[in-house]
Amino acid sequence: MKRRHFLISGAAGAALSMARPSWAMAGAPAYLTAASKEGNSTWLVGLTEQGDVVFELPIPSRGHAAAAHPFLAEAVAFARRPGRFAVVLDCATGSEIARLDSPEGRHFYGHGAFTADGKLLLTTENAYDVPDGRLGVWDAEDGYKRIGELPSGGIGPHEMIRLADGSFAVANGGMQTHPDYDRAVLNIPSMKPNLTYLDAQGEIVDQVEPPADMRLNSIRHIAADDTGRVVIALQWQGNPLTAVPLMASHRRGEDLAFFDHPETVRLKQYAGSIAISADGSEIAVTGPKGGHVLFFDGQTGAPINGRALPEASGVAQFGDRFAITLAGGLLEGGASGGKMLDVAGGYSWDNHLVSIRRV
Amino acid sequence: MTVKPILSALVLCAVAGTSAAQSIANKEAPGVALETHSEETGLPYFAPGRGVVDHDAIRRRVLEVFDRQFGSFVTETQALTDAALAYCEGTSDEAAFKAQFRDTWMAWAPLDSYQFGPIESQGAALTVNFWPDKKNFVGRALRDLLNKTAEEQADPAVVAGLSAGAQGLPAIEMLTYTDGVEPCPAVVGISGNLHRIAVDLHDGWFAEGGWADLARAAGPDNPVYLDASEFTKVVYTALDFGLTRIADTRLGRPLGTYERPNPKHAEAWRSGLTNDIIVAQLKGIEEVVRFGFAGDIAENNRSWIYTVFEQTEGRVDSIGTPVSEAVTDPMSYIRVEGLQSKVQYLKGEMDQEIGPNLGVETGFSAADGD
Repeated sequence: MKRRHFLISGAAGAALSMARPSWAMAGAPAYLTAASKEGNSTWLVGLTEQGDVVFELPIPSRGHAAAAHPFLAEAVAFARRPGRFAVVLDCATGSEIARLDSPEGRHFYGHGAFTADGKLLLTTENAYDVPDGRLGVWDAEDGYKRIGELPSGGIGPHEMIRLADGSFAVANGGMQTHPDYDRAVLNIPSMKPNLTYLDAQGEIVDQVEPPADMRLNSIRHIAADDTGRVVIALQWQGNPLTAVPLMASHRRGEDLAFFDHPETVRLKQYAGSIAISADGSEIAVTGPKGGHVLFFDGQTGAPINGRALPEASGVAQFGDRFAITLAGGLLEGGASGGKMLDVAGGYSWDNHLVSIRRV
Repeated sequence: MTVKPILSALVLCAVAGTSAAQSIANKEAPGVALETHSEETGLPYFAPGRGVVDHDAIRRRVLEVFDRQFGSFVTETQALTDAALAYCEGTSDEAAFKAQFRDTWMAWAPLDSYQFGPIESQGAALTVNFWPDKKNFVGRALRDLLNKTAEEQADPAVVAGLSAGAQGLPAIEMLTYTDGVEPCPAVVGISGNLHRIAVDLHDGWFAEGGWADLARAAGPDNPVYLDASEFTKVVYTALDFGLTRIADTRLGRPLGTYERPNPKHAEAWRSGLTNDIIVAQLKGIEEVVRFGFAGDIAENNRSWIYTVFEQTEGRVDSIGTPVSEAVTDPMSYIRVEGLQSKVQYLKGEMDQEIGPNLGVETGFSAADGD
């Protein structure tokens, strides 16, 4: 397999893209999130910064995260792990462009990222009988046909993001699961998470692992600033009574740095999503299980404060602060407070809020 | 630690004893006493409080069931260790060892439903029962074990250091039921290690500071169970998962398609224990419903679900041959398929009759995490 060449692409695609609608034609949503409504119907929802719903598109089952095309109004809604489908939606017309079925022996983890030129989609996947982590490669210019796969660099790749320079960071959570065992983790005694960097061509160029005492702290959700610093929301798989930090950051060439917070215990050992504010001054970490959000200083990682916010789950940049999905709507603000925007429609948000301009 | 459960069991008996003949005023037919409790079981006919479920009582009773089920795995693995030694020393025969091997697997079968807490944190799902094994990890790990000296093979600590495939019931099965393979002394080491795992699992639940204590301490400061109902929900979900395991995995794998069944995808096809494992897992689930959820489920729902359990177990019996053989014959294939449908039906009935009684939400939210 000449995987080196997968992600190298020419300039031929521009003309093809012309005919496909841009985000402006889809009501210019700022955010995408999966949601459910009463009766367990499941949706992909586009929201403006004012909290207006510009579209809600039905998806076949419970969603997790989404990947937004860099410039076309196309979004990929992923099923929740261990999902076997992802739906590519034209967010301007609401039509389904393609449905991605994970190949035999693979399932999706619920995250993915486009290449900077928008030509390829990468999806985090579980090769569960091997067991190993993979990145599925799909051709966005050829009906999202699967054209191959790459190693993710570890077990249990969960969130992957594209960095400002077009390279990628992958959170290999380390947790081995198998669809026959539903969502149970099978390898806690031996699990070893890592953060893996791939260049824009999909080659692994760097990896970092936590130290021994943090081996059971799963690296699952990540965000990055324009300088390439990656911040990490952690999920502790060890003894639930052990107090551990749930936020870490990393810059290539350095060790992982872990940051404690006096209110970490309120997260119930589970940090959900993470974001860095656009001005770099704050980091927000959500705790959907504990209904709590932690704010850290964006430069030093020192704790600022925390807030009880029921079902606080997805977080993305909003101005110089954050938009956070929580029960009943969106909170826009940061450590110093914010404004609650009620979103009508009776949605129960799913885990992540994906910012369209910054994906 | 050991006094508490016994005491609460006594209290339960006392309550049941006095309440057997309870009656309340019957508003619709004054003068006619309305019986609230079954004479036979001593349990209330209706969910107490009509929608107010006593999750503390459910937890107490479920933990008693778990204590019994995990305790039984400790007992049987000890007996297996003894049986392996006797067999390898020549003081008992192969049949006695195989009988004890069967009893051990039957003790594990109910625990397969509980993939949370100690089983998850100790990685026991794969060490005890590495299955499905599409890539022959068990055979490969056993080759590593058999390449060691006799002394090492018989040493549980050596086995514990090998990959999961060599540590569990499928490894013993492959050694014992494969022609031309000498099971001794490897079965001694594997059995001893299995017993160590069984003790660790029971301790993980019931030693001081174990998962049972965590469940008992449910509340806003608990890192896992924010209130008592969350433990009920986890247990209910585990039973649901157990039924899915039977339908989709234990039966679905060997069934394959009508044109292409997969007899060797049946669990424990070498020993032919497939059907017994399914019955034992069903009985384990039923035990939690009967003695754990018990009176917090209305009498009519309870008696109906027992009927469906009984019918489902009857469907296993009616297959007549091990699942691995049954799927290769068109007539009995249909019976295996019928059992699968019945298990799915049972799962549906649990969701209709039992879940709502317990106030277990079927909806989902971001708080489920991922």
